[in-house]
Amino acid sequence: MLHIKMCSIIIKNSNKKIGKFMGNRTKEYRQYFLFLSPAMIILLFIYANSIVRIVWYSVIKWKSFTPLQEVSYENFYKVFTYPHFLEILKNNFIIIIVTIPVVVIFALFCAQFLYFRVFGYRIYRYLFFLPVILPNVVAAIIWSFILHEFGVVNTIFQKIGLEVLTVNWFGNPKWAIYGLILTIIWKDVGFAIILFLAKLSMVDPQLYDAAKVDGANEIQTIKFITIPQILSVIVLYIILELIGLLNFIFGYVFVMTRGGPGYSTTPLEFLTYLFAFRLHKFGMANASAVILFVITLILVLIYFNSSRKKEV
Amino acid sequence: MKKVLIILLVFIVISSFSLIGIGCKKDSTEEAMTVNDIEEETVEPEVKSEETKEETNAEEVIQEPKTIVVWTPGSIESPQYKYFEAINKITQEKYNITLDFQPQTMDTYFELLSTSMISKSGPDIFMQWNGIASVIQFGRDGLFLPHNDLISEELLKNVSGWSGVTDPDDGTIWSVPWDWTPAALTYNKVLFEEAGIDFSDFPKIMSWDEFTGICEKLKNADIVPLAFANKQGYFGEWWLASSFGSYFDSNKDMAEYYANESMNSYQFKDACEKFKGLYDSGYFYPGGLTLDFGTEAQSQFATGKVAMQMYLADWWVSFNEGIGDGNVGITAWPNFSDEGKLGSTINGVYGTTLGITSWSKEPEAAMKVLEVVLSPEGAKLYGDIVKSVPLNKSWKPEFEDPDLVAWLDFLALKSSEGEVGDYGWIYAVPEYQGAVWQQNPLYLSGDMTFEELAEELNTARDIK
Repeated sequence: MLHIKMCSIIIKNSNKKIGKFMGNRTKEYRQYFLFLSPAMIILLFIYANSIVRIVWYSVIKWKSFTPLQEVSYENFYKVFTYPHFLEILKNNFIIIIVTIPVVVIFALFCAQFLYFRVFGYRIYRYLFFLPVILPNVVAAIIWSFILHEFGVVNTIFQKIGLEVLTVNWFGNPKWAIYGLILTIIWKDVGFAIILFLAKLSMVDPQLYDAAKVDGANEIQTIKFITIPQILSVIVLYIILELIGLLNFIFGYVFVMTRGGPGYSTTPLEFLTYLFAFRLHKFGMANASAVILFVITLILVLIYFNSSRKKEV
Repeated sequence: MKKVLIILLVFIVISSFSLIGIGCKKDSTEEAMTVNDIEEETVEPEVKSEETKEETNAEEVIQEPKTIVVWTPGSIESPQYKYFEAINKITQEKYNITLDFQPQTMDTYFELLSTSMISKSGPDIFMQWNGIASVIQFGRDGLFLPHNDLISEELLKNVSGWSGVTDPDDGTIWSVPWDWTPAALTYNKVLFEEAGIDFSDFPKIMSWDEFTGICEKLKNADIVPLAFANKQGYFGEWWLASSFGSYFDSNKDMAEYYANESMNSYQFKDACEKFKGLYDSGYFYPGGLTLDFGTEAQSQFATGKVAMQMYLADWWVSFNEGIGDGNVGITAWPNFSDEGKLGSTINGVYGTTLGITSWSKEPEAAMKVLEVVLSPEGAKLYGDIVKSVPLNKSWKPEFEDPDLVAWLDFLALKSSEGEVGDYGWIYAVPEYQGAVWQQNPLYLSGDMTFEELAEELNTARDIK
C-alpha cells in the first residue's frame, strides 16, 4: 500500500515537472511564433493568394483577353486532349530519368575523389562549382554554340576523322532533348558535388581506412560506405532536382530550342508559356500550371515516402 | 494557438477570393469572325462630326504637360528611335506632350503585349500588325480603344490603309495605319557581280525558276545565296506566307483558303515543296535551321556572308553600313506561282499600325501624337529617317538612295495595277501561325512529311 502511494506521489510530481517543462516550451513556441508571424503572414498571403488564383483561373473559361466567363472544367479537358500533350509529358519524363541518375552518380564519384584530396582537388572544386554560379541563360547560350551543327563538338569530330559521331543536336528531334539534358547536367552537377562533399566531410575517415584494409575498390566504397552515410543528402538533392527539372528549365528551352524541333524539347512548363503568350489561352495556361503542380507534388511525395521507408 | 492559425488561414483564403472577384460575370462567347464575313469593300468607318471636333482642334495646345508612352519592336540603335525623337520634339512644341518611346525586343514583343493586356497596364500606344488576325482581333479582345470618336475626317481622307484596321463586322476602327512594307529581297550587288548575275533589270518580280537559277549561280560561285536563322520558326513562316498570295486572285480568296480549306491541297503542297527545295539544294545559310533569328538574321547579310536577305526598313541602314552604300539593292520577293493575279502585283505586304490602348488615361493626347505621326510633316520624317513608306497620301519620296527610289517607283507602279497581296488577311486564327512556327523546322529537316505538316496545321486551326 505504502509502495503504491509512494509510486503515485512520484508519478504526480513527475507529471508536474513535465507539465511545467511543457508549459515553458509552449511559451517559448508562442514567442517564436509571434516574432515570425508578420513575415509568415506576408509570405503565406503571397503564396496562398497566387496558388488560389491559379487554381481559380484554371477552372474559369477564359480565352484570350475577353472578360472571365463561367466556371468550367473545359480547360483541363483541352489541356489533356491537346495534340502533343503526351509527347510533352514524355519529354518531362526523359529529362528526369536521364538527368537525375547521371548527376547523382557523377557527383558521388567526384565528391569522393575530392574528399580523398586527389591532386589538384582545390582547382577541381572551383571548376565544378563554376557552372552553378552562371545564370541558366548564359549556360544555354554557351551550349547552343558548343552543340550547334557547326559548333565546337562537331568541328572537333570532323577534324579528327570521326564524322560519324557528328550530330545536328538541336536540328534533330531525336537528339535535341539530349542536348538540353547535357546542358542541365553540366549546370547542376557542381551543386550536387558540393552538397555531397559537405556531408562527406562529416563521415568518419576510419570507415574508409577499414574498407581499404578489407580490400574494397572505389565502387564498393561508394556503395557500402559513402551512399549509406550521405543518403539523407542524396534524397534531399534528388527531391530538389526533381522540382527543378519540372519547374525551372524554361530558360534553357527558351534560349536553346524554343521547344523545337516541333515539340521534341517542349516540357510542360514551356507548354504553359505557349498557351499563355502564343495562343492567348490563359485558362488553359493556368490549367497546365495546376497539372504541373500536381504532378510535381505526387512525384515528390512518392519519392519522399519511399526513401523514408528505405532509411527506416 | 491552433484556432489562431486556422482563423488566419481562413482570412487569407477569403481575402484571396475577394481579390480575384468571386461572381465572375457571364458573358456570351464572342463568335469568331469567319472569313465569309469579310466583304470586298470594308464597312465605312464612322467618325465624329466636325462640330464636336472644334474642341479638339489640331492646333489647340494642351496646357497640362502629358507623357504618352509608345511601344514598338525595335532598339535604341534602330532608325525608329531617331524618328520618334523627332516626333517628340514636335509634340512637345505643339501640345506640351512628351513622347516616351520604349523599343521592345521582337522576341518578347507578343509576351509583353499579352502581359500588358492581362494587367491592363502598359503603354498608351502599341504597334500591332494590320489585319484580321492581328490588330482587329486584338481590338475585339480589348487591347485597343475604338478610335472612331477620336479620328478626324481629315485623317481619314489623307491616310490610306484603313481597311486593315477597320472591323468588317461593325466598322470599328481599332488602330491607325502607320507603315506599309511589302515582302522584298535585299541583295548584295558585289556578290551578284562575282557570281556573274545580271541585275540591271531589277527590281522585278521573279518567277520561281528565275529565282532558283540565281541561287544556283551563287552557289556555284561558292557564295551562300540566302540568309537563314530559323530557330524560332519565323523564317520558315515568312517564306511560306509571303509569296502564298501568288496562287490567288484576291486577298479574300486567300483568306478564305486559310480559314476553310484543308492545308493538304496543291497550293500549300507546292509552296512547301518549293521552300523545302531551297533548303535541300543548300541555298540557305549552313546551320541556319537552329540559329537564333535575333542575333543572326540581320548580321548574316550585313557582314557579307550571304547574298540575299529579306528586306525590312529597320535593317536597311545597317545593311548599307555593313556592305557599303550603293552595294545593296532591293527587288521583289519571288513568286511561288504565276497563276493568281496577286502574283502579278506585290505580295506579302506587312502593314503596321499604331493603336491607343484601352487602358490609356490620355486617349486624346495619344491621338494628338498619332495625328503628328500621320501628318505630312511626320510622314516626311518617317521617310527620311526610317527609309520606309508612310501611309500619308501626300508623302512623296525624297530618297537620295537610287536603289530605294527605284524600289518605291516599282512599288507604286505595281500597286496601281491591282490589289496587293496583304499578309494581314491570312492566319484566321493565331493557333495556326503558332503551329507553322513550331513545325516548319521539322518539315524542312525531313523529320516530318508534308501530309503530317498539313494535318498539324489543320488540327491547330480547329483549336478554339
